[in-house]
Amino acid sequence: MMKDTIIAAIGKINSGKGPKVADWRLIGTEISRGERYFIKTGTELSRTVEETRYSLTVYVDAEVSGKKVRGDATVTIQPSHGEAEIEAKILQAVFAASKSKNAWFDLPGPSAPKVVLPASGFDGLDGQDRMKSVRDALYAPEAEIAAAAAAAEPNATAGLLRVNALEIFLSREDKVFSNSKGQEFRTSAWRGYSEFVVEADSRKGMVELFDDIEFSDPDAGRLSEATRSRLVQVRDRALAASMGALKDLPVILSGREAEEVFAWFFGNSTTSAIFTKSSSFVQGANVQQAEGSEKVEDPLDLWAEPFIQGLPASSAFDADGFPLERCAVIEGGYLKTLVGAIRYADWLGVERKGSFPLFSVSPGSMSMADMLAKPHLAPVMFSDFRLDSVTGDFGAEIRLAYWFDGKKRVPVTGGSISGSVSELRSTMRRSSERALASRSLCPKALLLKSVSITGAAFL
Amino acid sequence: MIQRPHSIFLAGEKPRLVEIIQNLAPEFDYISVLGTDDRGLSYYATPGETRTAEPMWVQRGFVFRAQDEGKVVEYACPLLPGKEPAESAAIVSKELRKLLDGENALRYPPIPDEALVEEFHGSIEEDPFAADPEAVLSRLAAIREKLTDGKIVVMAQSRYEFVDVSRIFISPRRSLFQSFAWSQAYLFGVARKGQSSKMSYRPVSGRKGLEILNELEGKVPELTAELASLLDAVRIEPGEYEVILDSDMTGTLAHEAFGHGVETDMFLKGRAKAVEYLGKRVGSDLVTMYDGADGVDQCGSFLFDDEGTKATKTKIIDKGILLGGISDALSALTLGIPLTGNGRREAFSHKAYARMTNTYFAPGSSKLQDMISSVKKGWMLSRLTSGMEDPRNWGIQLLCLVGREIVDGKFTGKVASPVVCSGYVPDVLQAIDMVSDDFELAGSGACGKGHKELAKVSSGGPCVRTKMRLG
Repeated sequence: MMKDTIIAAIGKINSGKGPKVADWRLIGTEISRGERYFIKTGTELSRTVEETRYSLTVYVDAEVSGKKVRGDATVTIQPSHGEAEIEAKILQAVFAASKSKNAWFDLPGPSAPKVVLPASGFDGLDGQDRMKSVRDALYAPEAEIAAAAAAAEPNATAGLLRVNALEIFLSREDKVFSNSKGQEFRTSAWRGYSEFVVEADSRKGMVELFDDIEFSDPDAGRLSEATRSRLVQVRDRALAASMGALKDLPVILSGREAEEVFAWFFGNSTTSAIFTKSSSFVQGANVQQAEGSEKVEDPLDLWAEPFIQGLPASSAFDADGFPLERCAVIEGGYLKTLVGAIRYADWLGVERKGSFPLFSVSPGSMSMADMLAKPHLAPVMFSDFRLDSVTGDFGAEIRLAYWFDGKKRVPVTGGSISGSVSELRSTMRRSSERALASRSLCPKALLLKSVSITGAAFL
Repeated sequence: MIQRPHSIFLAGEKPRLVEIIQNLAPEFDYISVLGTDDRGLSYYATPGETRTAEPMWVQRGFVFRAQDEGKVVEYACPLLPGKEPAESAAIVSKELRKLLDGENALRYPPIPDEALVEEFHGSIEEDPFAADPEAVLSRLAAIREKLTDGKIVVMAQSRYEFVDVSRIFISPRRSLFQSFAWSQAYLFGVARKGQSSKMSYRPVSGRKGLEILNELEGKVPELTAELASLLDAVRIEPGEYEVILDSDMTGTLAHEAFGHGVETDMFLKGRAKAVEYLGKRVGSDLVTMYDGADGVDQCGSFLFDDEGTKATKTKIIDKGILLGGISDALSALTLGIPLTGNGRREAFSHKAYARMTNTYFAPGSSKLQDMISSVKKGWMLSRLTSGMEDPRNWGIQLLCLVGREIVDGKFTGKVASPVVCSGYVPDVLQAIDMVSDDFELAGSGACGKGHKELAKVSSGGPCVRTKMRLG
């Protein structure tokens, strides 16, 4: 067994004259993945992938000015590595770790999980059915929309509206975690990912939209909704006009972009961000209060989550092997609890909570209907929405947005938006409806005032 | 210079790979295997901490590609299955056959297998595997500390990554082996005033070793000054402006506009508007653009791609006229166009797509100072953070951290940050009316296809003057 070989190599190194391994952590990962690539409905390529790797971190202790210090180094050991190669790699890591002299921290000892992750629906399906269930769900809306259009207007010639290209990756991932403190656990998870391009014809030629989705269950409803919503939107992009210069208009972000804004609060509440000073958040302070603002319009609550049904990043333990338990991070806009890697928690002198893969945000005080009833710009697809995790600055070119002037809602394209969450945090409003995003359960939409809007039509 | 050796592991497996392919050849119309063994080191210096690890690029494994009656399938594995070559071949064959039984598969023209035997060894000056980790970590920590003054720059971190690439490709008539190294290093800083934080960085990269840290050390003073200036940055009044793009921005414009836009797997899917413009004007006379792993030496350079096609240099745009695309094997064969050696994988475990290598505009004849002097009211843009293509509809997005205002040919001292640049690709390229006579390639970071499939590339060229919408 690879683990035995690695531990034997560590023992051999520790019996030598050089630096000693004080502690170690080993994560073995085995992945078995099916991949299907489609162009229209034809299979472009089929692939089977097997991956195995072992990530070993060694910790080496020393004393500097009477203080205990610790260094660590991580190496990847491949299943094709022989004993001599493994020993050489570990020796190299031990030597490198002995050259880092960071403040000392301890590894987690044996502990049971605090949450139990439910089995995935993929477990009950065989290989062919798993891939087919995902493919069928993603392609279903194409036919449904065409049938609905034909039923509504039997004599009309429907414009082309379809999935142009689609990729499905479905992995079974088995991990075995162990460390020198006796912490050991196994996890098995299904990780699904699909990337798709939908297209529609317009007077100026074909237009397209691109999107992707991560999933851990064969949830046909969620998968179909992903392609359905984009098919509807690409039809609107085919009709969209160039966006004019719009001023003083609230901007409504939704889906992944809304999640990015909330993720800024989550990321800046972590032990590593605060320890390194990349975050300006202070525990106990109102982190939603922007400089110069009088009040926070819609105070938010944010929880760190180990598990959210349907999201493949769910995990009962963090990468250090620390057991995760749901915890309130921000309450009413105030930073209550720091979460994140345990070494930084120790260095900051705060309670260890672990590093969480997921988060959730409380519903807001405004319904989607109320949000959409007043004039606004609602971008639903950007070229590539970017929000800087440190500064909070964001911006992106718009591929499709809906502009509502108080009377009519029209699709527009081109132009861009930019702003800063740091400046807009007091006045942002959240929808009372929530939805799953890629790593959170958060309000479906977020209304931001004073976002800079650049039109496309003045060229 | 120190020559990079071939992977001992791959060299040791080569005879077995040859035998496995010989065993499989009679069963399939086409068969090949790519073996990878990319090793590396990464060093980090962050506040209160130094760390050593391995870059995400480290990998070791094999991918077999087979074609039968036009259908193409692949089986990837971390080590060769079975003990004897005949047994290995039987296991691989079984996996490939299972995939070939799939329904509704596209059928491709025969994949060529012309005879070719070649190898390549790159070289570097300072070998990171031979260096003392303490010296590297101390150097990185010193660079980081030099940037952090505790008053304006509240946080800084530095990072160095080194990857030794080894790839072997075996088919019945081809035997290719290449080994070379590349490095990249970064220095990031965060400046803060009250609640306002601003970030900027300096990257260095190349097919080099530890010697690259000398370049990073030299960039500390300019980054210090830049971070201080960003604390007073304004937001740009949305509108269309004259802009001068630095070489990194120019390279990313080339990369996003007519790099992704001419990847021929996009042609195959009907996703590239460029198809309608082959042989037609897409830019001004000053626009000439290339992509190629051959011809320049940067992070996107190699001898052969991950499908065993030898590297070339492709002229994509000649004096404003679009000439053609960059191809992976399957799209090129289907479209009946040349194989350009652009079939690349993130790792052995990933599919090969048509991907860029080194993408750049050719230099022009203008002096940068003359270009700045020529601007009535506009911005000099630098410190790119991201770009995104829209190959079907020719939108373009570039995000950068630093815009320096120019009025009547002079910098006013006003700085804008961040800046979102957008436009319609042919308008932006047609508006290029000055191109500088200098040339620089940068290969830090990675290029994705959509939101995944990272590939090591470089981009760059000269500075260009054009018009873009800024916000």
